[in-house]
Amino acid sequence: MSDQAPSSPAPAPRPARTPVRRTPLRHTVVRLAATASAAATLVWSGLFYSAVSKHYAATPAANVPATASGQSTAAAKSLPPVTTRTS
Amino acid sequence: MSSPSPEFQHDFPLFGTQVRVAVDGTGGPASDAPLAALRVRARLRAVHNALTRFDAGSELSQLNARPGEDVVVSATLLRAVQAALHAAALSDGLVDPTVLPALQDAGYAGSRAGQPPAPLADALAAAPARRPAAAHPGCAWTLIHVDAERSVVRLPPGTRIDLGGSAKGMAVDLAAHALAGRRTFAVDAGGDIRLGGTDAAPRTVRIADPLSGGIAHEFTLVAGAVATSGLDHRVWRTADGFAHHLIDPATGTPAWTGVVQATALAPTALEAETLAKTALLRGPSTGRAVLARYGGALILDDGELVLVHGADPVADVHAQAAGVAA
Repeated sequence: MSDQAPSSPAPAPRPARTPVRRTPLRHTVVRLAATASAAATLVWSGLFYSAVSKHYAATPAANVPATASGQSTAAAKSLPPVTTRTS
Repeated sequence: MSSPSPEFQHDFPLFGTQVRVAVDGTGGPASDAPLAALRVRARLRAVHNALTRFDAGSELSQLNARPGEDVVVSATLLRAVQAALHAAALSDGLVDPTVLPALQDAGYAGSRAGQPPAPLADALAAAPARRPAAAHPGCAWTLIHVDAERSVVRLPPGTRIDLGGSAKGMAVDLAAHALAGRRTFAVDAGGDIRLGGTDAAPRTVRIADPLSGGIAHEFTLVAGAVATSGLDHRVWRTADGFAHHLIDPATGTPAWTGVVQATALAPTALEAETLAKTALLRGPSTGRAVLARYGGALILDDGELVLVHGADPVADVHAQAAGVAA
Protein backbone atom coordinates (compact mmCIF):
# COMPACT_ATOMS: atom_id res chain seq x y z
CA MET A 1 0.00 0.00 0.00
CA SER A 2 1.55 3.06 -1.20
CA ASP A 3 1.32 6.29 0.53
CA GLN A 4 -1.47 8.26 -0.85
CA ALA A 5 -2.11 11.82 -0.70
CA PRO A 6 -5.18 12.69 1.32
CA SER A 7 -8.29 12.67 -0.79
CA SER A 8 -9.20 16.20 0.30
CA PRO A 9 -6.43 18.64 -0.09
CA ALA A 10 -5.63 21.00 2.69
CA PRO A 11 -7.54 24.27 2.30
CA ALA A 12 -5.67 27.00 0.66
CA PRO A 13 -4.66 29.76 2.99
CA ARG A 14 -7.23 32.55 3.00
CA PRO A 15 -6.09 35.85 1.75
CA ALA A 16 -5.40 38.37 4.46
CA ARG A 17 -8.44 40.48 5.30
CA THR A 18 -8.25 44.00 4.12
CA PRO A 19 -9.41 46.36 6.84
CA VAL A 20 -12.53 48.32 5.93
CA ARG A 21 -11.62 51.90 5.58
CA ARG A 22 -13.91 54.86 5.30
CA THR A 23 -13.12 56.79 2.27
CA PRO A 24 -12.26 60.38 2.88
CA LEU A 25 -15.46 61.36 1.07
CA ARG A 26 -17.67 59.26 3.35
CA HIS A 27 -15.92 60.66 6.35
CA THR A 28 -16.56 64.15 5.16
CA VAL A 29 -20.25 63.45 4.52
CA VAL A 30 -20.68 62.05 8.02
CA ARG A 31 -18.95 65.04 9.50
CA LEU A 32 -21.01 67.45 7.45
CA ALA A 33 -24.23 65.74 8.53
CA ALA A 34 -23.25 65.91 12.19
CA THR A 35 -22.30 69.54 11.87
CA ALA A 36 -25.55 70.39 10.13
CA SER A 37 -27.52 68.61 12.83
CA ALA A 38 -25.66 70.40 15.60
CA ALA A 39 -26.11 73.71 13.84
CA ALA A 40 -29.86 73.11 13.48
CA THR A 41 -30.13 72.25 17.15
CA LEU A 42 -28.14 75.32 18.05
CA VAL A 43 -30.33 77.58 15.95
CA TRP A 44 -33.53 76.04 17.32
CA SER A 45 -32.24 76.23 20.88
CA GLY A 46 -31.12 79.78 20.38
CA LEU A 47 -34.51 80.83 19.08
CA PHE A 48 -36.32 79.05 21.91
CA TYR A 49 -33.99 80.37 24.56
CA SER A 50 -34.25 83.86 23.15
CA ALA A 51 -38.05 83.74 23.16
CA VAL A 52 -38.19 82.46 26.73
CA SER A 53 -35.61 84.97 27.87
CA LYS A 54 -37.62 87.80 26.34
CA HIS A 55 -40.73 86.53 28.07
CA TYR A 56 -39.13 86.47 31.50
CA ALA A 57 -37.26 89.69 30.92
CA ALA A 58 -40.64 91.28 30.27
CA THR A 59 -42.29 89.79 33.35
CA PRO A 60 -40.78 92.00 36.08
CA ALA A 61 -41.45 95.17 34.11
CA ALA A 62 -45.09 94.18 33.75
CA ASN A 63 -45.44 94.30 37.53
CA VAL A 64 -44.06 97.78 37.84
CA PRO A 65 -46.10 100.90 37.18
CA ALA A 66 -44.16 103.38 35.13
CA THR A 67 -43.27 106.60 36.87
CA ALA A 68 -43.96 110.03 35.43
CA SER A 69 -40.55 109.97 33.82
CA GLY A 70 -41.34 106.68 32.22
CA GLN A 71 -39.11 104.33 34.17
CA SER A 72 -38.66 103.23 37.74
CA THR A 73 -35.09 102.07 38.18
CA ALA A 74 -35.70 100.62 41.62
CA ALA A 75 -38.64 98.68 40.33
CA ALA A 76 -36.77 97.55 37.22
CA LYS A 77 -34.38 95.62 39.43
CA SER A 78 -37.17 93.97 41.38
CA LEU A 79 -38.11 90.32 41.14
CA PRO A 80 -41.68 89.13 40.57
CA PRO A 81 -43.85 89.88 43.61
CA VAL A 82 -45.30 87.38 46.06
CA THR A 83 -48.52 87.57 48.04
CA THR A 84 -48.95 86.34 51.58
CA ARG A 85 -52.42 85.28 52.61
CA THR A 86 -54.29 82.83 54.75
CA SER A 87 -54.29 79.35 53.30
CA MET B 1 -25.42 93.75 43.31
CA SER B 2 -26.03 92.95 39.69
CA SER B 3 -29.43 93.02 38.11
CA PRO B 4 -31.32 89.82 38.92
CA SER B 5 -31.77 87.23 36.24
CA PRO B 6 -35.27 86.26 35.17
CA GLU B 7 -36.91 83.51 37.16
CA PHE B 8 -38.40 80.17 36.26
CA GLN B 9 -41.64 79.57 38.16
CA HIS B 10 -43.21 76.21 38.93
CA ASP B 11 -46.72 76.00 40.47
CA PHE B 12 -48.38 72.92 41.92
CA PRO B 13 -51.02 72.01 44.52
CA LEU B 14 -49.79 70.67 47.87
CA PHE B 15 -50.53 71.10 51.59
CA GLY B 16 -54.14 71.86 50.63
CA THR B 17 -53.02 75.01 48.86
CA GLN B 18 -51.03 76.24 45.86
CA VAL B 19 -47.25 76.15 46.05
CA ARG B 20 -44.93 78.23 43.89
CA VAL B 21 -41.19 77.64 43.55
CA ALA B 22 -39.31 80.38 41.68
CA VAL B 23 -35.60 80.14 40.91
CA ASP B 24 -33.21 82.15 38.78
CA GLY B 25 -32.98 80.89 35.24
CA THR B 26 -35.23 80.86 32.25
CA GLY B 27 -36.17 77.23 31.89
CA GLY B 28 -34.44 77.21 28.50
CA PRO B 29 -32.25 74.32 27.32
CA ALA B 30 -29.19 75.73 29.02
CA SER B 31 -30.93 76.27 32.35
CA ASP B 32 -31.05 73.88 35.28
CA ALA B 33 -33.84 75.89 36.89
CA PRO B 34 -36.64 73.42 36.00
CA LEU B 35 -34.69 70.55 37.50
CA ALA B 36 -34.03 72.51 40.68
CA ALA B 37 -37.74 73.34 40.99
CA LEU B 38 -38.77 69.75 40.37
CA ARG B 39 -36.36 68.50 43.01
CA VAL B 40 -37.91 70.88 45.52
CA ARG B 41 -41.39 69.73 44.52
CA ALA B 42 -40.43 66.11 45.10
CA ARG B 43 -38.97 66.98 48.49
CA LEU B 44 -42.06 68.91 49.54
CA ARG B 45 -44.35 66.11 48.40
CA ALA B 46 -42.41 63.60 50.49
CA VAL B 47 -42.78 65.87 53.51
CA HIS B 48 -46.50 66.28 52.86
CA ASN B 49 -47.09 62.56 52.44
CA ALA B 50 -45.38 61.80 55.74
CA LEU B 51 -47.08 64.54 57.74
CA THR B 52 -50.66 64.81 56.50
CA ARG B 53 -53.33 63.83 59.02
CA PHE B 54 -55.87 63.31 56.25
CA ASP B 55 -54.29 60.04 55.12
CA ALA B 56 -54.68 57.12 57.52
CA GLY B 57 -51.56 55.59 56.03
CA SER B 58 -49.30 58.60 56.60
CA GLU B 59 -46.49 58.32 59.09
CA LEU B 60 -48.14 60.97 61.28
CA SER B 61 -51.40 58.98 61.35
CA GLN B 62 -49.48 55.89 62.37
CA LEU B 63 -47.83 57.81 65.19
CA ASN B 64 -51.20 59.17 66.31
CA ALA B 65 -52.55 55.61 66.39
CA ARG B 66 -49.99 54.60 69.00
CA PRO B 67 -50.06 57.11 71.88
CA GLY B 68 -48.12 56.01 74.92
CA GLU B 69 -45.71 53.90 72.85
CA ASP B 70 -42.16 54.52 71.70
CA VAL B 71 -42.44 54.86 67.92
CA VAL B 72 -39.39 54.88 65.65
CA VAL B 73 -39.95 57.64 63.10
CA SER B 74 -38.30 58.95 59.95
CA ALA B 75 -36.00 61.95 59.97
CA THR B 76 -38.82 63.98 58.40
CA LEU B 77 -41.36 63.22 61.13
CA LEU B 78 -38.75 63.59 63.84
CA ARG B 79 -37.85 67.04 62.58
CA ALA B 80 -41.51 68.00 62.18
CA VAL B 81 -42.33 67.02 65.76
CA GLN B 82 -39.32 69.02 66.94
CA ALA B 83 -40.54 71.97 64.86
CA ALA B 84 -44.01 71.72 66.41
CA LEU B 85 -42.55 71.66 69.90
CA HIS B 86 -40.36 74.65 69.04
CA ALA B 87 -43.47 76.51 67.88
CA ALA B 88 -45.31 75.58 71.06
CA ALA B 89 -42.44 76.81 73.21
CA LEU B 90 -42.02 80.02 71.17
CA SER B 91 -45.74 80.76 71.59
CA ASP B 92 -45.90 79.84 75.30
CA GLY B 93 -48.24 76.98 74.44
CA LEU B 94 -50.65 78.90 72.19
CA VAL B 95 -49.57 77.08 69.03
CA ASP B 96 -50.29 73.69 70.52
CA PRO B 97 -50.00 70.54 68.37
CA THR B 98 -52.20 68.56 70.79
CA VAL B 99 -55.41 70.45 69.91
CA LEU B 100 -56.21 67.91 67.19
CA PRO B 101 -59.24 66.36 69.00
CA ALA B 102 -60.71 69.84 69.56
CA LEU B 103 -60.09 70.71 65.92
CA GLN B 104 -61.94 67.59 64.83
CA ASP B 105 -64.77 68.29 67.26
CA ALA B 106 -65.09 71.76 65.76
CA GLY B 107 -65.76 70.15 62.38
CA TYR B 108 -62.30 69.96 60.82
CA ALA B 109 -61.90 66.19 60.66
CA GLY B 110 -61.25 65.91 56.92
CA SER B 111 -59.40 68.02 54.40
CA ARG B 112 -61.21 71.21 53.41
CA ALA B 113 -59.13 71.71 50.28
CA GLY B 114 -61.39 72.86 47.48
CA GLN B 115 -64.34 73.60 49.77
CA PRO B 116 -65.49 77.23 49.67
CA PRO B 117 -65.32 78.92 53.08
CA ALA B 118 -68.35 80.46 54.76
CA PRO B 119 -68.57 84.28 54.43
CA LEU B 120 -66.16 85.80 56.94
CA ALA B 121 -68.39 88.82 57.56
CA ASP B 122 -71.28 86.55 58.51
CA ALA B 123 -69.04 84.53 60.82
CA LEU B 124 -67.73 87.65 62.54
CA ALA B 125 -71.25 88.99 63.00
CA ALA B 126 -72.35 85.75 64.66
CA ALA B 127 -69.18 85.17 66.71
CA PRO B 128 -69.16 85.30 70.51
CA ALA B 129 -67.53 88.10 72.52
CA ARG B 130 -63.91 88.57 71.57
CA ARG B 131 -61.22 87.49 73.99
CA PRO B 132 -57.57 86.47 73.78
CA ALA B 133 -56.77 82.78 73.56
CA ALA B 134 -54.65 81.10 76.23
CA ALA B 135 -52.52 78.01 76.64
CA HIS B 136 -54.11 74.84 77.98
CA PRO B 137 -53.23 74.52 81.67
CA GLY B 138 -52.31 70.85 81.20
CA CYS B 139 -49.73 71.68 78.49
CA ALA B 140 -49.82 68.12 77.11
CA TRP B 141 -47.32 69.16 74.44
CA THR B 142 -44.62 69.37 77.11
CA LEU B 143 -45.10 65.64 77.72
CA ILE B 144 -44.30 64.65 74.14
CA HIS B 145 -41.06 62.71 74.35
CA VAL B 146 -38.50 63.01 71.54
CA ASP B 147 -35.31 60.96 71.47
CA ALA B 148 -33.40 62.34 68.49
CA GLU B 149 -30.52 59.87 68.81
CA ARG B 150 -32.85 56.86 68.57
CA SER B 151 -35.33 58.62 66.24
CA VAL B 152 -38.10 57.82 68.69
CA VAL B 153 -41.22 59.84 69.49
CA ARG B 154 -43.67 58.99 72.27
CA LEU B 155 -46.99 60.81 72.57
CA PRO B 156 -48.61 60.97 76.00
CA PRO B 157 -51.46 58.45 76.44
CA GLY B 158 -54.66 59.71 74.83
CA THR B 159 -52.85 62.41 72.85
CA ARG B 160 -52.91 62.93 69.10
CA ILE B 161 -51.16 65.76 67.29
CA ASP B 162 -51.68 67.97 64.26
CA LEU B 163 -48.52 69.37 62.72
CA GLY B 164 -50.41 71.69 60.34
CA GLY B 165 -48.84 75.12 60.06
CA SER B 166 -45.53 74.26 61.69
CA ALA B 167 -45.01 71.42 59.20
CA LYS B 168 -45.71 73.73 56.29
CA GLY B 169 -43.30 76.31 57.66
CA MET B 170 -40.66 73.65 58.16
CA ALA B 171 -41.19 72.37 54.61
CA VAL B 172 -40.71 75.86 53.19
CA ASP B 173 -37.51 76.21 55.20
CA LEU B 174 -36.24 72.88 53.87
CA ALA B 175 -36.95 74.04 50.33
CA ALA B 176 -35.15 77.32 50.99
CA HIS B 177 -32.18 75.38 52.31
CA ALA B 178 -32.09 73.30 49.13
CA LEU B 179 -32.15 76.46 47.00
CA ALA B 180 -29.70 78.49 49.07
CA GLY B 181 -27.01 78.29 46.38
CA ARG B 182 -29.21 79.78 43.65
CA ARG B 183 -28.79 83.43 42.66
CA THR B 184 -32.42 84.15 43.58
CA PHE B 185 -35.31 82.05 44.80
CA ALA B 186 -38.78 82.29 46.30
CA VAL B 187 -40.79 79.48 47.87
CA ASP B 188 -44.45 80.28 48.54
CA ALA B 189 -46.68 77.63 50.11
CA GLY B 190 -50.05 79.34 50.25
CA GLY B 191 -48.65 82.48 51.86
CA ASP B 192 -45.82 80.96 53.91
CA ILE B 193 -42.91 82.45 52.01
CA ARG B 194 -39.12 82.28 52.01
CA LEU B 195 -37.06 84.59 49.81
CA GLY B 196 -33.32 84.67 49.25
CA GLY B 197 -30.38 83.62 47.11
CA THR B 198 -26.72 84.49 46.71
CA ASP B 199 -27.65 87.55 44.65
CA ALA B 200 -31.07 88.23 46.16
CA ALA B 201 -32.79 91.40 45.06
CA PRO B 202 -35.74 93.39 46.41
CA ARG B 203 -39.05 91.73 45.84
CA THR B 204 -42.50 93.15 46.49
CA VAL B 205 -44.47 91.28 49.16
CA ARG B 206 -48.21 91.89 49.15
CA ILE B 207 -50.47 91.22 52.11
CA ALA B 208 -53.89 90.05 51.00
CA ASP B 209 -56.90 91.61 52.71
CA PRO B 210 -59.32 88.87 53.85
CA LEU B 211 -62.24 91.27 54.17
CA SER B 212 -62.02 93.23 50.93
CA GLY B 213 -60.32 90.64 48.78
CA GLY B 214 -57.78 93.29 47.73
CA ILE B 215 -54.27 94.08 48.87
CA ALA B 216 -54.01 95.54 52.37
CA HIS B 217 -50.37 96.52 52.20
CA GLU B 218 -47.17 95.89 50.31
CA PHE B 219 -43.50 96.24 51.08
CA THR B 220 -40.19 95.02 49.72
CA LEU B 221 -38.09 92.22 51.12
CA VAL B 222 -34.75 90.90 49.93
CA ALA B 223 -34.35 87.77 52.04
CA GLY B 224 -36.15 86.14 54.94
CA ALA B 225 -39.60 84.77 55.64
CA VAL B 226 -43.17 86.04 55.74
CA ALA B 227 -46.23 84.10 56.87
CA THR B 228 -49.89 84.89 57.34
CA SER B 229 -52.43 83.24 59.59
CA GLY B 230 -56.12 84.04 59.42
CA LEU B 231 -59.69 82.91 59.69
CA ASP B 232 -61.03 83.52 56.20
CA HIS B 233 -59.86 80.49 54.28
CA ARG B 234 -61.00 77.80 56.72
CA VAL B 235 -64.23 79.00 58.28
CA TRP B 236 -67.41 76.95 58.09
CA ARG B 237 -70.98 76.83 59.30
CA THR B 238 -71.96 74.63 62.23
CA ALA B 239 -75.31 73.69 63.76
CA ASP B 240 -75.10 76.65 66.12
CA GLY B 241 -73.08 79.21 64.22
CA PHE B 242 -69.62 79.25 62.67
CA ALA B 243 -66.28 77.65 63.40
CA HIS B 244 -62.74 77.96 62.08
CA HIS B 245 -59.44 76.13 62.38
CA LEU B 246 -57.55 78.29 64.89
CA ILE B 247 -58.29 76.69 68.22
CA ASP B 248 -57.99 78.36 71.62
CA PRO B 249 -56.09 75.66 73.56
CA ALA B 250 -57.62 76.75 76.86
CA THR B 251 -61.23 76.26 75.74
CA GLY B 252 -60.80 73.77 72.91
CA THR B 253 -63.03 75.92 70.70
CA PRO B 254 -62.30 78.29 67.80
CA ALA B 255 -60.63 81.51 68.94
CA TRP B 256 -62.45 84.79 68.25
CA THR B 257 -59.93 87.38 69.41
CA GLY B 258 -60.70 90.48 67.38
CA VAL B 259 -57.91 89.76 64.85
CA VAL B 260 -58.95 88.17 61.55
CA GLN B 261 -55.48 87.96 60.06
CA ALA B 262 -51.89 88.34 61.23
CA THR B 263 -48.77 88.56 59.09
CA ALA B 264 -45.31 88.11 60.58
CA LEU B 265 -41.79 88.52 59.27
CA ALA B 266 -38.94 86.39 60.61
CA PRO B 267 -35.69 84.79 59.49
CA THR B 268 -37.40 81.42 58.92
CA ALA B 269 -40.85 80.35 57.75
CA LEU B 270 -41.36 78.24 60.87
CA GLU B 271 -40.81 81.27 63.08
CA ALA B 272 -42.91 83.54 60.88
CA GLU B 273 -45.77 81.03 60.83
CA THR B 274 -45.59 80.65 64.60
CA LEU B 275 -45.44 84.39 65.27
CA ALA B 276 -48.37 85.08 62.94
CA LYS B 277 -50.58 82.47 64.57
CA THR B 278 -49.54 83.58 68.06
CA ALA B 279 -50.32 87.23 67.27
CA LEU B 280 -53.78 86.29 66.00
CA LEU B 281 -54.51 84.14 69.04
CA ARG B 282 -53.37 86.82 71.48
CA GLY B 283 -55.70 89.43 70.01
CA PRO B 284 -55.21 93.10 69.08
CA SER B 285 -53.64 94.42 72.27
CA THR B 286 -50.87 91.92 72.92
CA GLY B 287 -50.66 90.65 69.35
CA ARG B 288 -48.67 93.77 68.46
CA ALA B 289 -46.00 92.83 70.98
CA VAL B 290 -45.64 89.38 69.42
CA LEU B 291 -44.73 91.02 66.11
CA ALA B 292 -42.47 93.66 67.63
CA ARG B 293 -39.16 91.91 67.04
CA TYR B 294 -39.23 91.43 63.27
CA GLY B 295 -42.31 93.41 62.25
CA GLY B 296 -45.66 92.45 60.82
CA ALA B 297 -49.25 93.46 60.36
CA LEU B 298 -52.64 92.76 61.91
CA ILE B 299 -56.05 93.13 60.31
CA LEU B 300 -58.75 93.53 62.90
CA ASP B 301 -62.38 92.45 62.77
CA ASP B 302 -63.46 95.92 61.64
CA GLY B 303 -60.91 95.93 58.80
CA GLU B 304 -58.39 98.20 60.50
CA LEU B 305 -54.82 97.57 59.39
CA VAL B 306 -52.21 97.72 62.16
CA LEU B 307 -48.59 97.83 60.99
CA VAL B 308 -46.00 96.82 63.56
CA HIS B 309 -42.49 98.19 63.35
CA GLY B 310 -39.77 95.58 63.85
CA ALA B 311 -37.03 96.28 66.38
CA ASP B 312 -34.74 93.70 64.77
CA PRO B 313 -36.25 93.73 61.34
CA VAL B 314 -35.79 91.18 58.63
CA ALA B 315 -37.43 93.96 56.70
CA ASP B 316 -39.45 96.77 58.09
CA VAL B 317 -42.97 96.76 56.76
CA HIS B 318 -43.01 100.55 57.13
CA ALA B 319 -39.71 101.19 55.39
CA GLN B 320 -39.91 100.91 51.63
CA ALA B 321 -43.65 100.43 51.89
CA ALA B 322 -45.15 100.75 48.48
CA GLY B 323 -48.52 101.91 49.72
CA VAL B 324 -51.88 100.61 50.79
CA ALA B 325 -54.48 99.67 48.24
CA ALA B 326 -57.42 98.03 49.89
